[in-house]
Amino acid sequence: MLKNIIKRSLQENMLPLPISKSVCHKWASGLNLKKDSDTILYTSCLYQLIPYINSFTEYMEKFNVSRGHFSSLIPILSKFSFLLKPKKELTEKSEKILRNIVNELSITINFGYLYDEEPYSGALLYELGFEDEFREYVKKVVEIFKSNNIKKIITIDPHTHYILKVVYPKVVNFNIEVVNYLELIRPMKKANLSVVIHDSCLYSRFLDMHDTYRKILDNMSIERKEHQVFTAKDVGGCCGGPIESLAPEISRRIAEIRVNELSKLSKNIVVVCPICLANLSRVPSNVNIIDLAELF
Amino acid sequence: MNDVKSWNEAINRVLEPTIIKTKNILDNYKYLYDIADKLRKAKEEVIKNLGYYIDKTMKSVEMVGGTSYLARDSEEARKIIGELVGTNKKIVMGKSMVAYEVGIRQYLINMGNEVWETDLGEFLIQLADEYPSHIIAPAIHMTKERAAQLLKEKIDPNIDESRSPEDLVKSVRKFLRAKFLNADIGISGANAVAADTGAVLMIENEGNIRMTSVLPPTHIVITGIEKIVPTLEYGFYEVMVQSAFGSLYPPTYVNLTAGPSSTADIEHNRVRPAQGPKEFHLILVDNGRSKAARDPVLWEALLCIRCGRCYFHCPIYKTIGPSWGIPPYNGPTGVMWNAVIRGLNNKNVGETAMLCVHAGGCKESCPMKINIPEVIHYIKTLYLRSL
Ligand code: SF4
Repeated sequence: MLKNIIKRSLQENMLPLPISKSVCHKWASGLNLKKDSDTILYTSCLYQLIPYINSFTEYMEKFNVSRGHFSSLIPILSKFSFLLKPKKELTEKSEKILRNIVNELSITINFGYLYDEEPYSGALLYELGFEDEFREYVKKVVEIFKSNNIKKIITIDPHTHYILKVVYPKVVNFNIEVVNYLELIRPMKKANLSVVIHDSCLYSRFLDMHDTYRKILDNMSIERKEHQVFTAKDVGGCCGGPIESLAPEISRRIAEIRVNELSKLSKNIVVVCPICLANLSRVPSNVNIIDLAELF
Repeated sequence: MNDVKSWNEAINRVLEPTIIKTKNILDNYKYLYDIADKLRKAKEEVIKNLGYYIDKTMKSVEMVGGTSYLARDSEEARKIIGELVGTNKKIVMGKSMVAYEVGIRQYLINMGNEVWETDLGEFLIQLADEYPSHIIAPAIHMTKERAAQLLKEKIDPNIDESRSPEDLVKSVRKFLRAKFLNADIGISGANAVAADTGAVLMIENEGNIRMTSVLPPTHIVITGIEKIVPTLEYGFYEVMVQSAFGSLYPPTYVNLTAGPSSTADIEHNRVRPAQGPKEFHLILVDNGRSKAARDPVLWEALLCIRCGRCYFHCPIYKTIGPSWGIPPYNGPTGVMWNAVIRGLNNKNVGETAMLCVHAGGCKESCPMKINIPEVIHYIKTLYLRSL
């Protein structure tokens, strides 16, 4: 089942999907980010994985994987990982997002990047409920941070941020400072645009950052359409992403409903999370799913 | 009922207006937040000392002339109620999830009794032979058209689909009036039971619980032990908070029953019965609750006052509806509650938990501030460990 795919992939290359590690740091080539800095940008490879996650989910759906019946897929996916063909536009999109984040952050702070040594955080294990496996895995990750003398980590997505900020301290001895890039940047660029925000569940309801990215948009003079239900903090307008590998059809339906309700407010839906970006992008529609970092 | 399209249509008509209605209530009556906080503390106290409070409640019920019972599980609850009711009786029921949980209606019908649900939603469910899709709005999955069709088939051939909701309610009223007047026994649930006085509080809007609890000569209340609050004061808090967060405030009726009817009009001496029931029975159901109370994580589920608000803030419920859960408990609180009554090692409960996307709308909307995502995460973890 799914656990085996994830576990095997994590063991082999410390990534949740059976793909090559080079996928994670290709985007940084030519940027000349330092490798030996005690402050690092930490991608956890999440943006880079979006194109592969979408392709993986497509397979799950195609093979009619219903809840809990993953066994038929393991041999296919773990042996023939080349089957996961990422879409070019998505790959380009995620590279652009990462580069924009780097550019924006560089204005205010010095940081490095671990390149091929950057481990995946293990968030997926935790979120799916594989708590024991997660605890084991985290030890390895923390070792890597320690051996690189990391003092401060800048996260760029809500899943990694939540795991490092809230969960790691509960399960391991972890005293590295964790900040999120949204708390550090102050983009000056002005844009003549009207958008609706699709909140990240973790940022808005678990990390109290519902207003953090709203302020960024306001500073950029971007108009945001709000709705007392569909963009309210207390309404769980999930993208469906967290169960895309368990129940792809339900996950897709959640995304459809979400895109539909938000598109009534604006055709430009701004997301702040790679998983939201991946899952909402699966819905065929005439709206633009834009990551906040694409606007910088 | 699990048809995706009809579910989406039904929930779309309800979800947005209900969320807005509740927000408006909470904006208008700000004291409710305060009361909710006090209530949570009082309920924590009861959950920590369940044995003491069960005992105290039972004694208090006896003090006011009622009889009380403690049922360890569903089977025991059915047995107690079966012995109280007997056969060939006419029974009216006010909505009770606990009655559904332990399987009362079907059990009493099988014993040869005539049993009618009197809450409109529950009545529709009974006619359709379906299960409740929401704890306080059990027929939320039924559109007006579907309800009309059902009533036409089952109770009134003159109804057609174009009838207004008012007309539909009128037909049901006529049908149920006769049942109330002839009933031997009324069975209801409870929103709160006050340990200090043995008083039971029941809120409603239809008037059916008032009639169920007053017209028949015997009134039986069946409820979970977690509904006990330390004093009558907290009982009132519970009904206020439940109805407000459940989007209907003020509730049309708050019923308080402490024992059978009585009068002290002759020489100021209390005698029983008077105009209302001559017998009052309270059945407190455990069915996994006291075990859950001792669990380091699951105990929080017992704070739930069944307002049903978390359902509307949950993307999974919104998308797949009542099929997410095991009747009668679905929605976010249902995942926890199935673990309470079926056990943390139940496979179906684990599978249900796996679909949680931890969107967190439930925890934000819950008046009791239950960390629902955390409890569900715990259920998931235990399930995966057991595989
Ligand atoms: S868990 Fe909270 S919001 Fe949900 S029904 Fe119970 S009290 Fe209401």
